[in-house]
Amino acid sequence: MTAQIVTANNLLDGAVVYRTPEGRWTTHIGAAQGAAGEAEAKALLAQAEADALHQIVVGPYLVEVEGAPGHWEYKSWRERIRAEGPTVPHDFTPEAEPRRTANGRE
Amino acid sequence: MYRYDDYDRQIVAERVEQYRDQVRRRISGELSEDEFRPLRLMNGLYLQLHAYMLRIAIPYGTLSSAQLRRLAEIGRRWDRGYGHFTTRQNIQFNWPRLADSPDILQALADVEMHAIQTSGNCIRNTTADQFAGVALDEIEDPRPWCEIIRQWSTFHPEFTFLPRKFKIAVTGSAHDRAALRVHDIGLALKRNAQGEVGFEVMIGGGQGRTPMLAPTIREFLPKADLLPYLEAALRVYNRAGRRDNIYKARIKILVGALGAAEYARQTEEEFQRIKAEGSVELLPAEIERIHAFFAPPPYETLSADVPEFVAAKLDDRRFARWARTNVSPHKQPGYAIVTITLKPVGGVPGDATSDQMDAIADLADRYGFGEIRVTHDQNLVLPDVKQSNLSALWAALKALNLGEANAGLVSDMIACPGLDYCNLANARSIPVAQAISRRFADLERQHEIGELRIKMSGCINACGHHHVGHIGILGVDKNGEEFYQITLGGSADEKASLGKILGPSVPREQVADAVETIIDTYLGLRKDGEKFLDTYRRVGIAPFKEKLYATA
Repeated sequence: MTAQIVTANNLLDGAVVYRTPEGRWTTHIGAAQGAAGEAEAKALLAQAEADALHQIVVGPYLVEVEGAPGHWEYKSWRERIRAEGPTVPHDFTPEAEPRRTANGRE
Repeated sequence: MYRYDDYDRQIVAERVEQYRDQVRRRISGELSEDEFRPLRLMNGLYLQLHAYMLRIAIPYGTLSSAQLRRLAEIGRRWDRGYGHFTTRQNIQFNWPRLADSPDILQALADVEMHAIQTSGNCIRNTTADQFAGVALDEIEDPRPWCEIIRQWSTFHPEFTFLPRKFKIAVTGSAHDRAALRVHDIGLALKRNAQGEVGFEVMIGGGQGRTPMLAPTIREFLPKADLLPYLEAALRVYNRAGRRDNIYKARIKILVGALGAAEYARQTEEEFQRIKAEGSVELLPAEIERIHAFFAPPPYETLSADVPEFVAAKLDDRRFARWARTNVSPHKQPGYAIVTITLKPVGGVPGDATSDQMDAIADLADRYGFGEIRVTHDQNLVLPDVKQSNLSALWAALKALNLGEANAGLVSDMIACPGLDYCNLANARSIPVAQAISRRFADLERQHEIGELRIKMSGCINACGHHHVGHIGILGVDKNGEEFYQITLGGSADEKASLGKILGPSVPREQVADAVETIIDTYLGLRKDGEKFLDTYRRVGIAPFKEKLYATA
């Protein structure tokens, strides 16, 4: 199925985050809440924009994905790279510590 | 090198504290993102694809070893252990946290650096010939003038909100290593018929979606008139530049619309008015004071013949090869200029790890006077190396994986960060650069091909200077797939030209093949002593087009 999820950047560290059904923000796209129709998507974005007003995230927007909750597939290169990081990781760069979610939980 | 005085120190320190408070207010919610965005951008902090990105100004590409060590420390402490040197002679860190950014700016201020005016519609960091002050072909050192422009343009109240960003480049050499013709203003120190030194002023160049080469609007400007003339040229732009359309807001569009002669006339009129008012007088004492910071270092008196250097070249072909590409003549006998290419085989163009930065800073101290330059083609330079030390330096660079003998060759590519990092990009640049680099890993072959400058951008904004690449590569998005448009015949030097589109764009996995076909075509056509650009200019685009698309 095609759905929309909401992504943004975490205010404090800029990390790419996704809004979960529980209203948290996570760095794992699989845990994102999917919206099936336009009305649902609008409501989801409105909740995300409220989080932006509370200094949790920056610039939330809707992204089209395919698949099912837990297994979302990206529809564009850009979103894939945002979710997975640069395609050319530095082999000399130490693995970044697991990024915390905007509200402090994985 | 220029050293901050109390005034410089105070304004940078105040700016850091101001920014620290702005960040505090953003995190507490006193400032919204819309209110905060312009404030963070004024301090070089962008929000990119994965994280914040901090762009730090390196004035006219000149760094001290202490400053480079500080950049290494910032990379290690607040980022992921590496930084990216850009075509604006700046450095970018890709992973800083917002909460850490005031501390980073303080750490920069402590070594007389900042990130002011690395974003926004203002006069950006002035760039220069990376060989300034040491080039054999130099008429006069442009660095004091760059510093004068830096001081004049920093926080200039009239030019804080220009129609669009504004970039100035300066050289003192006949051979243009600073890409003057693709800048908003290019300044070249020249000698007139009377033997006086002044500036040729070029205006309205640029790349992006409307590439233009800057026409000359003033053949000779006396040095003392530099600031009033710049003020006049910018005032004309500030008044008449388009503000209704971001894509038409750069000065090149205005110069194109008015014509160079009319732009020159209006600038001259404004210039005479400013001079009559005496508003920006550059006093001889001030010029002298700034020049004193750039006095030559304490060179030893050496012979121009250096037997150790000659012997080392005879002894090791690999060293001789590196000396041929990465060592340039120095105005001081017995010395040389060394280019350290940040382009190892399969590497990321322009990237350096914190460990490499520290090591290069040490080499700058050991084999020079503690100075490093950043080049617009994303390399570093040690400007004052004794020829007798070149062999030892090369050995040290090899140990850092930075001893590649490829300056100006196929693998010495410019590549913007592209879609791997950048919010604006349509396609990736780095994997394409890596594929080409691996394809031409054989140095013997690279040297056989000769000078060839490949430049690639991940979008039309042309941060990777693709328009002026001998071979230019532009990433485009075709229905979600990455394709690359190839141009030929661009050049950024004193014979600047814009590349011509070769034909339909090619998918990413075919770019290295396409480049190889183009190079093989050139090798089949070239005459004795010709470089790629010579052959292209002699035979035109048709043979390349035929070869590439016949086999496609």
